Amino acid sequence: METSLIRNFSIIAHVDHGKSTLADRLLEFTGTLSEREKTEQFLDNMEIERERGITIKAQAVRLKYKADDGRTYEFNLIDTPGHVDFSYEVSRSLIACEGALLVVDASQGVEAQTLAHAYLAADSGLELVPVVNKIDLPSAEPDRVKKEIEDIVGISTEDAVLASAKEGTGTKEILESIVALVPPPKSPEDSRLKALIFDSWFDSYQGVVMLVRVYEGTVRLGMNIKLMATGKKYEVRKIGTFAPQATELEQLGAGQVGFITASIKEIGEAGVGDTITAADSPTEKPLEGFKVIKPMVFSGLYPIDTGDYDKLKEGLEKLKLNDSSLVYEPETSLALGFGFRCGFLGLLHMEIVRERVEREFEVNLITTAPTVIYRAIYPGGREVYVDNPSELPTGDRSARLQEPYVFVSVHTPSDYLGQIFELCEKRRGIRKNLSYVTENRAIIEYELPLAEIVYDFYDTLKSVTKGYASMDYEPAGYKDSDLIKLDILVNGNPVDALSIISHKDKAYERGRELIVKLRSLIPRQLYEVVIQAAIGSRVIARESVRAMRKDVTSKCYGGDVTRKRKLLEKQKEGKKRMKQVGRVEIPQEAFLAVLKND
Amino acid sequence: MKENIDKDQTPLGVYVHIPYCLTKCPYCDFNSYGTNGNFPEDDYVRALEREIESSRRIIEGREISTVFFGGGTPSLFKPRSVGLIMEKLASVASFSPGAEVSLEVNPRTADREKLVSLMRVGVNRISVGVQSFSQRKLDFYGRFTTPDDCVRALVDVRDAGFHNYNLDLIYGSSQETREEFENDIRTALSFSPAHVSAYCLTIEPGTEFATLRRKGKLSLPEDSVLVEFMRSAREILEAEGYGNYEISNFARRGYECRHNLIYWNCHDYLGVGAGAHSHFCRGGEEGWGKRWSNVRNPELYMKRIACDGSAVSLSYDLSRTTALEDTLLMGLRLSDGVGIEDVKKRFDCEPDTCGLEYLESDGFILTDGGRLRLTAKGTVFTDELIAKVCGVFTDFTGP
Repeated sequence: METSLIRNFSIIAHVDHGKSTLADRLLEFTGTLSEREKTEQFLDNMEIERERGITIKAQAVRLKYKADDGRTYEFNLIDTPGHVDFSYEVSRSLIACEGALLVVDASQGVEAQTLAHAYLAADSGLELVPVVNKIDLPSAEPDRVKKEIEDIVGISTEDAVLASAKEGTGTKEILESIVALVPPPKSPEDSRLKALIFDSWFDSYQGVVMLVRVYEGTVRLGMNIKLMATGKKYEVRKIGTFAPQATELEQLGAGQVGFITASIKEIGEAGVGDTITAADSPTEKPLEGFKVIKPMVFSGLYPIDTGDYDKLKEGLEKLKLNDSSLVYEPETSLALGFGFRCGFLGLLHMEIVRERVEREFEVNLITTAPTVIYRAIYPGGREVYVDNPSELPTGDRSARLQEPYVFVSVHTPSDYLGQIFELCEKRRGIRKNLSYVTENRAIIEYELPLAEIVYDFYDTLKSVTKGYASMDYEPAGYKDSDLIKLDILVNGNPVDALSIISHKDKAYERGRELIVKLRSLIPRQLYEVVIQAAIGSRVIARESVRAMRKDVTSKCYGGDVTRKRKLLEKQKEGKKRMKQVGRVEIPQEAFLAVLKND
Repeated sequence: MKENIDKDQTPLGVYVHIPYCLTKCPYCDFNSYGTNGNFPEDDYVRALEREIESSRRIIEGREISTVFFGGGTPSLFKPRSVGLIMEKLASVASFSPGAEVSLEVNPRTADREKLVSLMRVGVNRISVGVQSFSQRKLDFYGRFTTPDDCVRALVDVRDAGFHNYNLDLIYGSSQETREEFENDIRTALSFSPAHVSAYCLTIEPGTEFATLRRKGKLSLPEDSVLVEFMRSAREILEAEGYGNYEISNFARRGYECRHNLIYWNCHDYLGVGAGAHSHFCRGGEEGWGKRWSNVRNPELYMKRIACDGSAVSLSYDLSRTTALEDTLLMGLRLSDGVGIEDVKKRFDCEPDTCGLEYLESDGFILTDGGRLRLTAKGTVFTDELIAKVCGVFTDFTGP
């Protein structure tokens, strides 16, 4: 395939701005997807993705398009996830492309996520093709939105396509713009194979399936390849593309995108970002690849019914096959019994894993409050990493405690600077820099404790800036911190799963907030429930849930059991979401009460 | 299964529903209709007779141990109508010796003469819907009766020769004082009834009271006050020799309502009439018995009976879990509770009673003498405790 006829692109859009529908239109128009085989929104193929309207795993679909110039082009549409937790996956999908459609809702305008990804794309050298979508809506204001794109994103909208993916208008114009505006892949400088793995997953029949972008040389069926990170060698078993079903090919040449299988058993062996080369004539230098992806947030997952432990274990094992960013190990809680400590990319990732375990493996879960990894340094230099609040060596004064910081950059219209500064200061941020992109568009940079942003920083940022700010973050190492463990006692007994680590200056406030929250979440029971927050043996706050006074159906007209049955069914449903800790029933939400910071 | 239930010894109850009232009370969610006295008595009785006839195969060969005429206001019907129904029942099954035949009476709808006639057609137990002896409370409850009507009705019942009669009271009205409440109980006791039912006013969905409360126009006593009333009723009545054999029911020894005990013990009963419910503990898809109920609307009921002899609108087979839960949720209302070994054997379950130990040590339940029951302290929390006990016996979260 001549590289001049290849176009690799992705679609950048805010959730709900119509990315999946637009993708469907492109597939239909090019005949890739026939009416009959199209399920609504083909690209979102997992149940949860469809419900949440977000795309989690990157996918690549090949389209053939006969353009007005009479030539037939090969398009590779590489899908990207739309949430900040997955910005890492976005950047690796973008790296395989030369251009991106920037889809903006004609009435909503540019949203923060779109902007963050647009910047990401621009940084990776991608050509952006603006598409103003949903112009069929009565509230559509394409001209205002075009101006907004010029002002905020800073790109010309002279060639912007006005489209309605829902009604199919503008589809052909978009395809022509891709031909005209998205550059073809660079011509290879070398003939030795150099391909990048930008996604991989486990398939029970094929082993690991790798999505690759070939930069130089050609990968052929049956050839021996080497993965440069491990040096391990494999024979290529299958090559293909998705169109949108898997279609097998003999080879992939420079500039092309597709999948490869090579009987690889462990997802870890085919790491995303690794370079594939030929085993017999390897290239010297691997592609730059990606940063190693590390979980940022940890929390405990426990089955409400202790008998479901094995089901939970199996569920995590299965999810792990396709989600290399999920890590877990067994842990035991005095209050909750046997479970797992799991590491996630962020809160959304955590939510998705939790939902998938509950839905696909039918285990009702208690999720403990998310925490980051703290570091304790002992005299002599021994370092211990702590990802579970109950293991923090608070009693040992000789240990120096540190917490992880992240370097956060917030892109925002300058109208919201005040609110953002206030938010960052409140979250113990250290201000680093402020710069202007345009006269009313700024970038604020802060160093913030990761613990302060994992809970609800992103949501709060969105809300104080009416959704206009976007953020990105990267690890910035550990800093000394005055940390203490805050214990929560229920009727005098510490509930380990409710413990949190807090900065000393915030402990009182957080303890207070937390137990007020818990009081509202724990339903009245047969007993008074006393909830206390304590640092060591010192109780800093106390609330109580009064005992229920009366819970009896006085008149039970014996003949008709319907009402009694309904009541019992309701009670059963409620108890399903509760964990009995001693004599007290604690609802699942209580374990997540610490999520909210304000 | 359930061979341990000997067919001939299982009590069988028959419930006859009379859905008509003069006026509908604002707290009442029973299947009853205010009629101002215009109701098709003869047509309704014919429908009841026809339904009993077509239920023949269900109860044929069995002994009826109790009959209960409930409503509605059954005392609106002529004794002759009650007699026709009794005769019809006698034609499809036999009555066990000393069968209990109860009928609900509203003061002012039955005089001495009517009560004597009712006794002649076989009624031997009367339940008088007094509700209160205070004019203020009767007005609040929307009753058209006066304290004087109530007293007269009770005198008539006694004069007619009934020894076995019950008196219904409702407490928990707006602004009700302890004195007012205790006065009702003491006045009731002055008639030496065999049985007293003292119910706490409950706001049921769909009633006039529910609407008033939603609009904020109904203020009721605090739970703590009601709990006090509940305790005080028990104290006063027990001191006078009435056993608190069910949450709201008190009786002199031997005068417990056998018909209601059939419900609470999950034995067999056939319900006839509009909206009546039936339960039989044999049969059903899985062998755990079945429940069914008739259409609620009286007109529709009569039409359905006239067309095909049956007016069943809802019917379901019990599973092992529902049958077990029913046993617990009805049985734990009784002061005797449930027999632990009986339940284990009948439902082939091995409950992990460790989960209940703390409830016992805290004085909510008792597991002595092989029975599981609620204590006086626990009775106040019956619904919550039932859910907890059901959880232990049926293992809610299990596979």
